[in-house]
Amino acid sequence: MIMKLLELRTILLKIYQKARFIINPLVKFVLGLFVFNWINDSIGFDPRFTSKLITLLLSAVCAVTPGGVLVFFAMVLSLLHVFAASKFLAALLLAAYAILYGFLMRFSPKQAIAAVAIPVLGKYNLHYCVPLVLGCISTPLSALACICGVFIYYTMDIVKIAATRQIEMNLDDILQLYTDIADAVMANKQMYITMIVFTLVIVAIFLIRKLSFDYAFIISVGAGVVTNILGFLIADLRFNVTVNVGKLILMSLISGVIACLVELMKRVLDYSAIERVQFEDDDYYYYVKAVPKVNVSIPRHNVKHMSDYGDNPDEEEYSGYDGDAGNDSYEEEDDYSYCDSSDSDVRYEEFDENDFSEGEKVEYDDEDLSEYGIRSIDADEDETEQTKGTSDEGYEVDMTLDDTDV
Amino acid sequence: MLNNRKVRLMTQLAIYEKRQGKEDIKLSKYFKSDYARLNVLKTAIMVTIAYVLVVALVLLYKFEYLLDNVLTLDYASMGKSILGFYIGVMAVYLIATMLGYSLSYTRSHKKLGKYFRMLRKLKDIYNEEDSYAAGNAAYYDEGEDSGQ
Repeated sequence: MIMKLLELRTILLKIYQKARFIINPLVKFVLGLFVFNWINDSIGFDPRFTSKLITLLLSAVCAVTPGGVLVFFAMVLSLLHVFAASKFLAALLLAAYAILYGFLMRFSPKQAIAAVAIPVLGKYNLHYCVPLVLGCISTPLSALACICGVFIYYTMDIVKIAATRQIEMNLDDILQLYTDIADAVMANKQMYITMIVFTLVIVAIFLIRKLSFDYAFIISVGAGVVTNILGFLIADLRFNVTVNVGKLILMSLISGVIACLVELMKRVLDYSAIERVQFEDDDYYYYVKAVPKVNVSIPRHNVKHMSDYGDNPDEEEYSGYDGDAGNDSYEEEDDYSYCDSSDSDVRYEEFDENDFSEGEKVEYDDEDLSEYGIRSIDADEDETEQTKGTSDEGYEVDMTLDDTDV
Repeated sequence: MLNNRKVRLMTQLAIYEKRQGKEDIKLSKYFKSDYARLNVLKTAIMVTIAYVLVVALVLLYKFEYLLDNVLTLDYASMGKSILGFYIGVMAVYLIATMLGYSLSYTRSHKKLGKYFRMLRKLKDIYNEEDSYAAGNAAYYDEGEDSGQ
């Protein structure tokens, strides 16, 4: 079962490596569709912007631009919709966005996508997976983006209700509307609780996965799930916040599984083969624990053509039957050049172990995927911190230089 | 003739330059203190704008009260409170920014260390090739058998 899973992982990574130029834009496009559709469904006050053509066009642009553009478009689209309903509300929303950016979002721009992912996934009660995944792949600073996402998620409902109120634009009405909105936001305990719990989840996962005990990565996800469930349960009991316990537990577990899958794609460590070594140099004495990464080779597919040449002599000639081997066969040609030295059974002849000596990372698979969230350079460096100083094949190798090398 | 060692190094360098390297190389143009100060300045401006907006929203929320008590309000203490909060918030943000960006500069500098080491290796390979071409060396390693 585990081997099958690891083989599947290798195959998926390989597919991703080959088709990432298609997969990445496609994922962004689908994400864009979800986000813009969510905005149109929630606050689609201006029918000009709810058309499918606009949604497709915006998603297509987002597919080929950085993630920040998606967030920017989402922000602009929501402002345009609210502007159609009420200019005052649009100004208020713009101020809210500016405050969120100035105080929070500016410090975690790379995780800005979380700010739109939470409202979109919240529709399906899967928003719990955002802090769990961010805890696995990012730093606690990503909690800032999460807080923005939670704010937008809960505020949109309030804005929607406020925008549907037919008011005359005199000062009294505007003030009344604003006071009602502010009261609703300030009284929204569920929002504050969610912000706090999500932050705790991210911090808990980050702290635990940094520890050096066995299976720390998977345990950290478990701890995140428990923190999430307990956090909301305590909020339910202590602060009288209504929580659907069954849905909370189920969705937290599903989110935990998603986070585990992300972790699986990021790295798989073989804790049964831990190496512990000690050595020293002029400045330090090192106690090193090196955990090898699991590298599963994909079995070769031998496609055998069983030609019945007795019945069909024409086919015998066609299949190149040589009369000695009994059947004609060929091996499917796959490019295994990205495999590391442990994959000796599938290596092409032109690469030998020496090609990857001196700790050069086994180039294109790991490095190439890092940008796309599968495995980051930072994550590798985290790993090297745990395994610092080792240079054996199959282990992470630290190539960090001294300051004198710079 | 292709030199495998050179190709590998150049590929690694290109990958780094295309991704993280962009930010790291841009950042290397600054001294650590300058980089941290620049970001502190940006943070100060953004936090000020955000704070002004928050104060404006709070004042709007209390607008009715302010109008009713426009003559009796203690503007001095109100101003002190607003300024006090501003200084507190700003201090927290500026300290966090200074620490955070200093740390990120140090990390980035380490990554650049790796980059420069690879550049030096590449330079060595070029020197080897030049020596071979000039007839000063009888052989140079193309990396087919020995890797590095």
